[in-house]
Amino acid sequence: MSFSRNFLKAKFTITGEEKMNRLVQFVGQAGPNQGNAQQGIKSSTVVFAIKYKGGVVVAGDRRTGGGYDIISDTSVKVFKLTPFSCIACAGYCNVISFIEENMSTVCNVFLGSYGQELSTDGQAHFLKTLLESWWFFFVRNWHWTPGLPILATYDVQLDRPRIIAFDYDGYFYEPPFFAGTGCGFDSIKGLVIDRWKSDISEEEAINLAVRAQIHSGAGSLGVSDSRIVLPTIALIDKSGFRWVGEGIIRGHRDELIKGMEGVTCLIS
Amino acid sequence: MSNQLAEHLEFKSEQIGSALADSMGVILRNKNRIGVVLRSRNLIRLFYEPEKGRTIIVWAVCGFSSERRTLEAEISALTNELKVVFSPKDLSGLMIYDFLSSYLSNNFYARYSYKPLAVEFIIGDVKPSSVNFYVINHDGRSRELKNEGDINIIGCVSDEAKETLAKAILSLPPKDRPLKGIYKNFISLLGDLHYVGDFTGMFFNITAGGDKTKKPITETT
Repeated sequence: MSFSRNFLKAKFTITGEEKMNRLVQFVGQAGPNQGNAQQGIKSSTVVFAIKYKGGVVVAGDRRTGGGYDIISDTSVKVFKLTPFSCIACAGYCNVISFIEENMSTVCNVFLGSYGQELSTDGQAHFLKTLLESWWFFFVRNWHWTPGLPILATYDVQLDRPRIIAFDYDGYFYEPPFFAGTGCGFDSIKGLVIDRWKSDISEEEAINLAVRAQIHSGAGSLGVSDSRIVLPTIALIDKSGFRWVGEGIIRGHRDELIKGMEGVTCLIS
Repeated sequence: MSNQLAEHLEFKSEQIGSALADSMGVILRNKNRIGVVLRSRNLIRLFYEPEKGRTIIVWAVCGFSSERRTLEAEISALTNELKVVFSPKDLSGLMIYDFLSSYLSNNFYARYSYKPLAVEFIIGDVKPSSVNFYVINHDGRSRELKNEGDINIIGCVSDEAKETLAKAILSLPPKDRPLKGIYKNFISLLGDLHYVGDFTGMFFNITAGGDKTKKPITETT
Protein backbone atom coordinates (compact mmCIF):
# COMPACT_ATOMS: atom_id res chain seq x y z
CA MET A 1 0.00 0.00 0.00
CA SER A 2 2.71 2.45 1.01
CA PHE A 3 4.75 1.56 -2.01
CA SER A 4 1.80 2.11 -4.33
CA ARG A 5 0.95 5.42 -2.79
CA ASN A 6 4.54 6.61 -2.76
CA PHE A 7 4.99 5.46 -6.29
CA LEU A 8 1.91 7.35 -7.41
CA LYS A 9 2.88 10.43 -5.50
CA ALA A 10 6.34 10.37 -7.01
CA LYS A 11 4.92 9.86 -10.46
CA PHE A 12 2.10 12.35 -10.40
CA THR A 13 3.04 14.94 -7.85
CA ILE A 14 4.22 17.49 -10.31
CA THR A 15 3.39 21.14 -10.24
CA GLY A 16 2.13 23.69 -12.74
CA GLU A 17 2.45 23.38 -16.47
CA GLU A 18 4.51 20.20 -16.36
CA LYS A 19 1.71 18.46 -14.50
CA MET A 20 -0.83 19.37 -17.14
CA ASN A 21 1.49 18.38 -20.00
CA ARG A 22 2.22 15.00 -18.48
CA LEU A 23 -1.44 14.31 -17.78
CA VAL A 24 -2.43 15.18 -21.34
CA GLN A 25 0.39 13.00 -22.68
CA PHE A 26 -0.56 10.14 -20.37
CA VAL A 27 -4.24 10.21 -21.26
CA GLY A 28 -3.36 10.40 -24.94
CA GLN A 29 -1.26 7.25 -24.81
CA ALA A 30 -4.09 4.82 -24.20
CA GLY A 31 -7.78 5.52 -24.56
CA PRO A 32 -10.64 3.27 -23.52
CA ASN A 33 -10.62 1.11 -26.62
CA GLN A 34 -6.91 0.75 -27.13
CA GLY A 35 -5.09 -2.52 -26.74
CA ASN A 36 -2.89 -1.46 -23.88
CA ALA A 37 -5.86 -1.08 -21.58
CA GLN A 38 -7.38 -4.42 -22.55
CA GLN A 39 -4.43 -6.68 -21.85
CA GLY A 40 -4.42 -6.55 -18.05
CA ILE A 41 -5.93 -9.42 -16.10
CA LYS A 42 -9.26 -8.24 -14.85
CA SER A 43 -12.31 -9.62 -13.25
CA SER A 44 -14.88 -9.63 -16.04
CA THR A 45 -17.70 -9.35 -13.70
CA VAL A 46 -21.13 -8.78 -12.44
CA VAL A 47 -21.44 -8.35 -8.69
CA PHE A 48 -24.45 -6.87 -6.98
CA ALA A 49 -26.26 -6.62 -3.68
CA ILE A 50 -30.03 -6.63 -3.12
CA LYS A 51 -31.77 -5.79 0.13
CA TYR A 52 -34.52 -8.04 1.41
CA LYS A 53 -36.62 -8.00 4.53
CA GLY A 54 -34.05 -8.24 7.34
CA GLY A 55 -30.86 -8.52 5.34
CA VAL A 56 -28.93 -8.20 2.14
CA VAL A 57 -28.02 -10.78 -0.50
CA VAL A 58 -24.69 -10.38 -2.34
CA ALA A 59 -23.96 -12.25 -5.55
CA GLY A 60 -21.02 -12.52 -7.92
CA ASP A 61 -20.12 -14.47 -11.05
CA ARG A 62 -16.90 -16.50 -11.31
CA ARG A 63 -15.00 -15.29 -14.37
CA THR A 64 -11.56 -13.66 -14.57
CA GLY A 65 -10.35 -12.65 -18.02
CA GLY A 66 -7.17 -11.32 -19.59
CA GLY A 67 -7.54 -9.78 -23.00
CA TYR A 68 -9.41 -12.38 -25.06
CA ASP A 69 -8.49 -15.23 -22.69
CA ILE A 70 -10.47 -16.67 -19.84
CA ILE A 71 -8.00 -16.92 -16.97
CA SER A 72 -10.37 -18.54 -14.51
CA ASP A 73 -14.03 -19.49 -14.21
CA THR A 74 -13.81 -20.32 -10.51
CA SER A 75 -12.99 -16.92 -8.98
CA VAL A 76 -14.84 -15.87 -5.85
CA LYS A 77 -15.58 -12.16 -5.96
CA VAL A 78 -17.50 -11.74 -2.73
CA PHE A 79 -15.06 -11.16 0.10
CA LYS A 80 -15.99 -11.29 3.76
CA LEU A 81 -14.53 -8.42 5.79
CA THR A 82 -16.12 -8.70 9.22
CA PRO A 83 -18.83 -10.96 10.68
CA PHE A 84 -21.37 -8.41 9.37
CA SER A 85 -19.89 -7.06 6.17
CA CYS A 86 -18.42 -7.99 2.80
CA ILE A 87 -17.22 -6.33 -0.37
CA ALA A 88 -17.60 -7.39 -3.98
CA CYS A 89 -15.47 -5.84 -6.71
CA ALA A 90 -15.16 -5.63 -10.47
CA GLY A 91 -12.14 -4.57 -12.47
CA TYR A 92 -8.41 -5.10 -12.54
CA CYS A 93 -7.27 -7.88 -10.23
CA ASN A 94 -4.34 -5.92 -8.81
CA VAL A 95 -6.70 -3.21 -7.60
CA ILE A 96 -9.20 -5.74 -6.27
CA SER A 97 -6.55 -7.62 -4.30
CA PHE A 98 -5.16 -4.30 -3.06
CA ILE A 99 -8.60 -3.31 -1.79
CA GLU A 100 -9.33 -6.72 -0.27
CA GLU A 101 -6.00 -7.01 1.53
CA ASN A 102 -6.09 -3.50 2.92
CA MET A 103 -9.72 -3.64 3.98
CA SER A 104 -9.22 -7.01 5.62
CA THR A 105 -6.11 -5.81 7.42
CA VAL A 106 -7.65 -2.60 8.71
CA CYS A 107 -10.79 -4.39 9.95
CA ASN A 108 -8.71 -7.01 11.80
CA VAL A 109 -6.27 -4.49 13.23
CA PHE A 110 -9.08 -2.23 14.40
CA LEU A 111 -10.83 -5.12 16.12
CA GLY A 112 -7.58 -6.29 17.71
CA SER A 113 -6.59 -2.83 18.89
CA TYR A 114 -9.87 -1.46 20.16
CA GLY A 115 -12.00 -4.53 20.80
CA GLN A 116 -14.83 -3.43 18.52
CA GLU A 117 -15.67 -3.95 14.87
CA LEU A 118 -15.03 -1.08 12.50
CA SER A 119 -18.39 0.52 11.81
CA THR A 120 -20.07 0.46 8.39
CA ASP A 121 -19.35 4.16 7.93
CA GLY A 122 -15.76 3.61 9.01
CA GLN A 123 -15.32 0.86 6.43
CA ALA A 124 -16.86 3.06 3.73
CA HIS A 125 -14.59 6.01 4.55
CA PHE A 126 -11.48 3.87 4.57
CA LEU A 127 -12.45 2.23 1.28
CA LYS A 128 -12.86 5.69 -0.20
CA THR A 129 -9.28 6.59 0.75
CA LEU A 130 -8.04 3.36 -0.87
CA LEU A 131 -9.84 4.14 -4.13
CA GLU A 132 -8.39 7.63 -4.27
CA SER A 133 -4.96 6.09 -4.88
CA TRP A 134 -6.14 4.68 -8.20
CA TRP A 135 -7.65 7.83 -9.69
CA PHE A 136 -5.43 7.69 -12.80
CA PHE A 137 -6.99 4.40 -13.91
CA PHE A 138 -10.28 6.16 -14.41
CA VAL A 139 -8.77 8.65 -16.77
CA ARG A 140 -7.78 5.99 -19.24
CA ASN A 141 -10.39 3.26 -18.85
CA TRP A 142 -14.05 2.51 -18.72
CA HIS A 143 -15.43 3.42 -15.37
CA TRP A 144 -15.88 -0.14 -14.08
CA THR A 145 -12.49 -1.57 -15.01
CA PRO A 146 -10.35 -0.21 -12.18
CA GLY A 147 -12.15 -2.18 -9.50
CA LEU A 148 -15.24 -0.45 -8.27
CA PRO A 149 -16.42 -2.13 -5.11
CA ILE A 150 -19.77 -2.38 -3.40
CA LEU A 151 -19.91 -2.71 0.35
CA ALA A 152 -22.76 -4.70 1.87
CA THR A 153 -23.28 -4.83 5.61
CA TYR A 154 -25.75 -5.38 8.36
CA ASP A 155 -25.28 -2.29 10.49
CA VAL A 156 -25.50 -3.54 14.06
CA GLN A 157 -25.63 -0.02 15.47
CA LEU A 158 -28.55 1.03 13.25
CA ASP A 159 -30.05 -2.46 13.20
CA ARG A 160 -30.66 -2.55 9.45
CA PRO A 161 -28.99 -3.84 6.27
CA ARG A 162 -27.00 -1.35 4.22
CA ILE A 163 -25.51 -1.26 0.74
CA ILE A 164 -22.88 1.31 -0.17
CA ALA A 165 -21.80 1.86 -3.76
CA PHE A 166 -18.66 3.70 -4.87
CA ASP A 167 -18.07 5.99 -7.77
CA TYR A 168 -14.82 5.95 -9.73
CA ASP A 169 -13.41 8.95 -7.89
CA GLY A 170 -13.96 7.52 -4.41
CA TYR A 171 -17.33 9.18 -3.84
CA PHE A 172 -19.77 6.81 -2.18
CA TYR A 173 -23.51 6.78 -1.76
CA GLU A 174 -26.18 4.55 -0.29
CA PRO A 175 -28.78 3.38 -2.83
CA PRO A 176 -32.14 2.38 -1.36
CA PHE A 177 -32.22 -1.34 -2.17
CA PHE A 178 -29.91 -2.39 -4.99
CA ALA A 179 -26.39 -1.69 -6.26
CA GLY A 180 -23.88 -3.45 -8.44
CA THR A 181 -20.90 -3.10 -10.69
CA GLY A 182 -19.09 -4.82 -13.53
CA CYS A 183 -19.47 -5.18 -17.28
CA GLY A 184 -22.58 -7.34 -16.90
CA PHE A 185 -24.38 -4.99 -14.55
CA ASP A 186 -26.12 -2.93 -17.21
CA SER A 187 -27.98 -6.00 -18.48
CA ILE A 188 -29.61 -6.73 -15.10
CA LYS A 189 -30.45 -3.28 -13.75
CA GLY A 190 -33.94 -3.18 -15.21
CA LEU A 191 -34.63 -6.80 -14.35
CA VAL A 192 -33.87 -6.42 -10.63
CA ILE A 193 -35.60 -3.04 -10.31
CA ASP A 194 -38.69 -4.43 -12.01
CA ARG A 195 -38.97 -7.53 -9.83
CA TRP A 196 -37.91 -6.16 -6.46
CA LYS A 197 -40.51 -5.34 -3.82
CA SER A 198 -40.17 -3.86 -0.37
CA ASP A 199 -41.29 -6.99 1.49
CA ILE A 200 -39.22 -9.43 -0.55
CA SER A 201 -38.24 -12.49 1.48
CA GLU A 202 -34.81 -14.08 1.80
CA GLU A 203 -35.84 -16.95 -0.48
CA GLU A 204 -37.23 -14.59 -3.12
CA ALA A 205 -34.09 -12.44 -2.95
CA ILE A 206 -31.85 -15.47 -3.58
CA ASN A 207 -34.10 -16.44 -6.48
CA LEU A 208 -33.87 -12.94 -7.92
CA ALA A 209 -30.07 -12.96 -7.55
CA VAL A 210 -29.78 -16.26 -9.41
CA ARG A 211 -32.13 -14.99 -12.13
CA ALA A 212 -30.02 -11.86 -12.54
CA GLN A 213 -26.84 -13.92 -12.74
CA ILE A 214 -28.32 -16.04 -15.54
CA HIS A 215 -29.36 -12.92 -17.45
CA SER A 216 -25.98 -11.33 -16.95
CA GLY A 217 -24.17 -14.44 -18.24
CA ALA A 218 -26.37 -14.29 -21.34
CA GLY A 219 -25.94 -10.54 -21.81
CA SER A 220 -22.23 -10.03 -21.25
CA LEU A 221 -19.24 -11.79 -22.74
CA GLY A 222 -17.18 -11.17 -19.62
CA VAL A 223 -19.55 -12.87 -17.17
CA SER A 224 -19.44 -16.59 -16.47
CA ASP A 225 -22.42 -18.62 -17.69
CA SER A 226 -24.49 -19.66 -14.67
CA ARG A 227 -25.64 -22.78 -16.52
CA ILE A 228 -22.05 -24.06 -16.44
CA VAL A 229 -20.57 -22.41 -13.36
CA LEU A 230 -22.67 -21.63 -10.31
CA PRO A 231 -22.39 -18.05 -9.04
CA THR A 232 -21.42 -17.33 -5.45
CA ILE A 233 -24.14 -15.91 -3.24
CA ALA A 234 -23.89 -14.73 0.36
CA LEU A 235 -26.38 -13.39 2.89
CA ILE A 236 -25.83 -10.86 5.64
CA ASP A 237 -28.50 -10.39 8.25
CA LYS A 238 -28.83 -9.96 12.00
CA SER A 239 -27.04 -13.25 12.59
CA GLY A 240 -24.10 -12.24 10.39
CA PHE A 241 -22.46 -13.22 7.12
CA ARG A 242 -23.06 -16.68 5.63
CA TRP A 243 -22.69 -18.35 2.26
CA VAL A 244 -25.66 -19.79 0.44
CA GLY A 245 -25.05 -23.47 -0.27
CA GLU A 246 -24.41 -24.69 -3.80
CA GLY A 247 -27.38 -27.04 -3.60
CA ILE A 248 -29.75 -24.15 -2.97
CA ILE A 249 -28.27 -22.08 -5.80
CA ARG A 250 -28.38 -25.06 -8.16
CA GLY A 251 -32.03 -25.70 -7.25
CA HIS A 252 -33.00 -22.11 -8.05
CA ARG A 253 -30.98 -22.09 -11.26
CA ASP A 254 -32.44 -25.33 -12.60
CA GLU A 255 -35.94 -24.22 -11.80
CA LEU A 256 -35.46 -20.81 -13.41
CA ILE A 257 -33.79 -22.10 -16.57
CA LYS A 258 -36.90 -24.15 -17.35
CA GLY A 259 -38.97 -21.01 -17.67
CA MET A 260 -36.42 -18.90 -19.56
CA GLU A 261 -37.05 -19.76 -23.15
CA GLY A 262 -35.74 -16.45 -24.43
CA VAL A 263 -32.45 -16.67 -22.55
CA THR A 264 -32.01 -20.34 -23.44
CA CYS A 265 -32.62 -19.58 -27.09
CA LEU A 266 -30.11 -16.74 -26.94
CA ILE A 267 -27.21 -18.66 -25.44
CA SER A 268 -27.73 -22.21 -26.72
CA MET B 1 -16.25 9.53 60.75
CA SER B 2 -13.55 12.17 60.51
CA ASN B 3 -11.86 10.97 63.72
CA GLN B 4 -11.87 7.38 62.54
CA LEU B 5 -10.39 8.39 59.25
CA ALA B 6 -7.73 10.52 60.82
CA GLU B 7 -6.69 7.60 62.98
CA HIS B 8 -6.67 5.25 60.07
CA LEU B 9 -4.80 7.54 57.77
CA GLU B 10 -1.97 8.46 60.06
CA PHE B 11 -1.08 11.01 57.49
CA LYS B 12 1.18 13.96 57.78
CA SER B 13 -1.53 16.53 57.41
CA GLU B 14 0.67 19.39 56.32
CA GLN B 15 2.32 17.41 53.56
CA ILE B 16 -0.87 16.02 52.11
CA GLY B 17 -2.80 19.19 52.70
CA SER B 18 -0.38 21.27 50.69
CA ALA B 19 -0.34 18.71 47.92
CA LEU B 20 -4.09 18.63 47.77
CA ALA B 21 -4.43 22.38 47.73
CA ASP B 22 -4.28 22.42 43.97
CA SER B 23 -5.90 19.59 42.06
CA MET B 24 -6.76 15.96 42.44
CA GLY B 25 -9.06 13.22 41.30
CA VAL B 26 -10.23 9.97 42.85
CA ILE B 27 -11.70 7.07 40.94
CA LEU B 28 -12.99 3.93 42.61
CA ARG B 29 -14.61 0.77 41.30
CA ASN B 30 -17.05 -1.12 43.51
CA LYS B 31 -19.13 -4.16 42.80
CA ASN B 32 -21.94 -2.30 41.07
CA ARG B 33 -20.63 1.14 40.25
CA ILE B 34 -17.70 3.34 39.45
CA GLY B 35 -17.33 6.66 41.21
CA VAL B 36 -15.27 9.65 40.15
CA VAL B 37 -14.69 12.67 42.36
CA LEU B 38 -12.60 15.55 41.10
CA ARG B 39 -11.37 18.90 42.22
CA SER B 40 -9.17 20.99 40.05
CA ARG B 41 -8.54 24.63 39.42
CA ASN B 42 -8.69 24.11 35.70
CA LEU B 43 -10.59 20.90 35.30
CA ILE B 44 -11.28 20.00 31.68
CA ARG B 45 -14.12 17.70 30.83
CA LEU B 46 -14.56 16.58 27.26
CA PHE B 47 -17.72 14.75 26.33
CA TYR B 48 -18.19 12.80 23.13
CA GLU B 49 -21.26 11.00 22.01
CA PRO B 50 -20.09 8.96 19.03
CA GLU B 51 -23.31 7.02 18.91
CA LYS B 52 -26.65 6.94 20.62
CA GLY B 53 -26.39 5.60 24.14
CA ARG B 54 -22.63 5.88 24.35
CA THR B 55 -20.61 8.61 26.00
CA ILE B 56 -16.87 9.08 26.23
CA ILE B 57 -15.68 11.39 28.96
CA VAL B 58 -12.16 12.71 29.41
CA TRP B 59 -11.17 14.49 32.57
CA ALA B 60 -7.83 16.23 32.63
CA VAL B 61 -6.63 17.33 36.03
CA CYS B 62 -3.56 19.13 37.30
CA GLY B 63 -0.90 20.52 35.06
CA PHE B 64 -0.42 23.88 33.50
CA SER B 65 -3.53 25.18 31.81
CA SER B 66 -1.51 25.62 28.60
CA GLU B 67 -0.59 21.95 28.67
CA ARG B 68 -4.18 20.95 29.17
CA ARG B 69 -5.30 23.14 26.31
CA THR B 70 -2.63 21.60 24.07
CA LEU B 71 -3.84 18.11 24.85
CA GLU B 72 -7.45 19.16 24.40
CA ALA B 73 -6.50 20.39 20.93
CA GLU B 74 -4.66 17.13 20.24
CA ILE B 75 -7.74 15.11 21.15
CA SER B 76 -9.85 17.29 18.86
CA ALA B 77 -7.34 16.73 16.05
CA LEU B 78 -7.55 12.98 16.65
CA THR B 79 -11.34 12.98 16.45
CA ASN B 80 -11.32 15.13 13.31
CA GLU B 81 -8.81 12.86 11.63
CA LEU B 82 -10.93 9.90 12.61
CA LYS B 83 -13.91 11.41 10.80
CA VAL B 84 -11.86 11.47 7.59
CA VAL B 85 -10.23 8.04 7.82
CA PHE B 86 -13.01 6.10 9.56
CA SER B 87 -16.11 7.47 11.25
CA PRO B 88 -16.96 9.28 14.48
CA LYS B 89 -18.86 6.14 15.47
CA ASP B 90 -15.53 4.32 15.72
CA LEU B 91 -14.19 6.57 18.44
CA SER B 92 -13.76 4.70 21.71
CA GLY B 93 -12.37 5.44 25.14
CA LEU B 94 -9.64 2.90 24.49
CA MET B 95 -8.58 4.83 21.39
CA ILE B 96 -8.22 8.08 23.35
CA TYR B 97 -6.50 6.17 26.13
CA ASP B 98 -3.94 4.74 23.66
CA PHE B 99 -3.45 8.10 22.04
CA LEU B 100 -2.90 10.06 25.25
CA SER B 101 -0.76 7.37 26.82
CA SER B 102 1.47 7.31 23.77
CA TYR B 103 1.51 11.11 23.57
CA LEU B 104 2.54 11.55 27.18
CA SER B 105 5.12 8.74 27.02
CA ASN B 106 6.82 10.47 24.13
CA ASN B 107 6.37 14.02 25.32
CA PHE B 108 9.65 15.44 26.49
CA TYR B 109 8.04 18.24 28.43
CA ALA B 110 5.67 16.05 30.40
CA ARG B 111 8.33 13.47 31.19
CA TYR B 112 10.78 15.93 32.62
CA SER B 113 8.51 18.56 34.05
CA TYR B 114 7.93 18.82 37.75
CA LYS B 115 5.47 16.07 38.60
CA PRO B 116 2.71 18.01 40.34
CA LEU B 117 2.47 20.37 37.41
CA ALA B 118 2.01 17.67 34.78
CA VAL B 119 -1.42 16.82 33.47
CA GLU B 120 -3.06 13.48 34.31
CA PHE B 121 -6.21 11.90 32.92
CA ILE B 122 -9.26 9.87 33.74
CA ILE B 123 -11.03 8.48 30.68
CA GLY B 124 -14.45 6.91 30.79
CA ASP B 125 -16.25 4.97 28.06
CA VAL B 126 -19.85 4.50 29.14
CA LYS B 127 -22.24 2.33 27.13
CA PRO B 128 -25.48 0.66 28.17
CA SER B 129 -23.72 -2.70 28.05
CA SER B 130 -20.36 -1.78 29.54
CA VAL B 131 -18.51 0.79 31.60
CA ASN B 132 -14.75 1.12 31.12
CA PHE B 133 -12.51 3.56 32.90
CA TYR B 134 -8.82 4.25 32.45
CA VAL B 135 -6.30 6.39 34.29
CA ILE B 136 -3.16 7.88 32.76
CA ASN B 137 -0.39 9.43 34.82
CA HIS B 138 1.69 12.37 33.69
CA ASP B 139 4.46 10.14 32.29
CA GLY B 140 2.13 7.95 30.26
CA ARG B 141 1.83 5.14 32.81
CA SER B 142 -1.68 3.90 32.57
CA ARG B 143 -4.09 1.35 33.90
CA GLU B 144 -7.65 0.22 33.52
CA LEU B 145 -9.98 -0.12 36.48
CA LYS B 146 -11.11 -3.67 35.88
CA ASN B 147 -11.74 -5.26 39.25
CA GLU B 148 -13.81 -4.55 42.28
CA GLY B 149 -11.87 -2.46 44.77
CA ASP B 150 -9.58 -0.90 42.16
CA ILE B 151 -8.81 2.65 43.12
CA ASN B 152 -6.65 5.33 41.63
CA ILE B 153 -5.75 8.83 42.63
CA ILE B 154 -4.33 11.37 40.26
CA GLY B 155 -3.17 14.89 40.82
CA CYS B 156 -0.66 17.00 42.67
CA VAL B 157 0.05 14.35 45.28
CA SER B 158 3.18 12.34 45.94
CA ASP B 159 2.99 8.59 45.35
CA GLU B 160 3.20 7.99 49.06
CA ALA B 161 0.32 10.31 49.78
CA LYS B 162 -1.74 8.73 47.01
CA GLU B 163 -1.23 5.31 48.51
CA THR B 164 -2.20 6.47 51.98
CA LEU B 165 -5.29 8.18 50.69
CA ALA B 166 -6.30 5.13 48.67
CA LYS B 167 -6.08 2.91 51.73
CA ALA B 168 -8.22 5.32 53.70
CA ILE B 169 -10.91 5.45 51.05
CA LEU B 170 -11.00 1.68 50.71
CA SER B 171 -11.56 1.37 54.45
CA LEU B 172 -14.87 3.20 54.10
CA PRO B 173 -16.68 0.18 52.49
CA PRO B 174 -18.68 2.37 50.13
CA LYS B 175 -20.22 -0.61 48.35
CA ASP B 176 -22.59 -1.01 51.29
CA ARG B 177 -23.84 2.53 51.10
CA PRO B 178 -26.30 4.29 48.86
CA LEU B 179 -25.06 6.12 45.79
CA LYS B 180 -25.21 9.63 47.20
CA GLY B 181 -23.71 8.40 50.43
CA ILE B 182 -20.54 7.40 48.67
CA TYR B 183 -20.27 10.83 47.15
CA LYS B 184 -20.75 12.54 50.49
CA ASN B 185 -18.15 10.28 52.04
CA PHE B 186 -15.65 11.30 49.44
CA ILE B 187 -16.35 14.96 50.03
CA SER B 188 -16.20 14.51 53.76
CA LEU B 189 -12.93 12.66 53.50
CA LEU B 190 -11.39 15.34 51.36
CA GLY B 191 -12.61 17.98 53.78
CA ASP B 192 -10.77 16.16 56.56
CA LEU B 193 -7.64 16.57 54.52
CA HIS B 194 -8.06 20.37 54.48
CA TYR B 195 -9.09 20.07 50.89
CA VAL B 196 -11.79 22.56 50.12
CA GLY B 197 -13.24 23.99 46.96
CA ASP B 198 -15.50 22.91 44.11
CA PHE B 199 -15.99 19.20 43.65
CA THR B 200 -17.47 17.26 40.80
CA GLY B 201 -18.71 13.76 41.27
CA MET B 202 -20.10 11.19 38.85
CA PHE B 203 -21.23 7.65 39.49
CA PHE B 204 -21.86 5.03 36.88
CA ASN B 205 -23.77 1.84 37.39
CA ILE B 206 -22.10 -1.23 35.99
CA THR B 207 -24.71 -3.30 34.18
CA ALA B 208 -24.23 -6.66 32.52
CA GLY B 209 -27.38 -6.79 30.40
CA GLY B 210 -27.34 -3.21 29.35
CA ASP B 211 -31.04 -2.49 29.63
CA LYS B 212 -31.31 -0.87 33.03
CA THR B 213 -28.51 1.64 33.18
CA LYS B 214 -29.40 4.50 35.45
CA LYS B 215 -28.57 8.02 34.50
CA PRO B 216 -25.27 9.07 36.07
CA ILE B 217 -25.51 11.43 39.00
CA THR B 218 -23.57 14.62 38.48
CA GLU B 219 -23.23 16.94 41.39
CA THR B 220 -21.13 19.97 42.12
CA THR B 221 -20.76 21.37 45.58
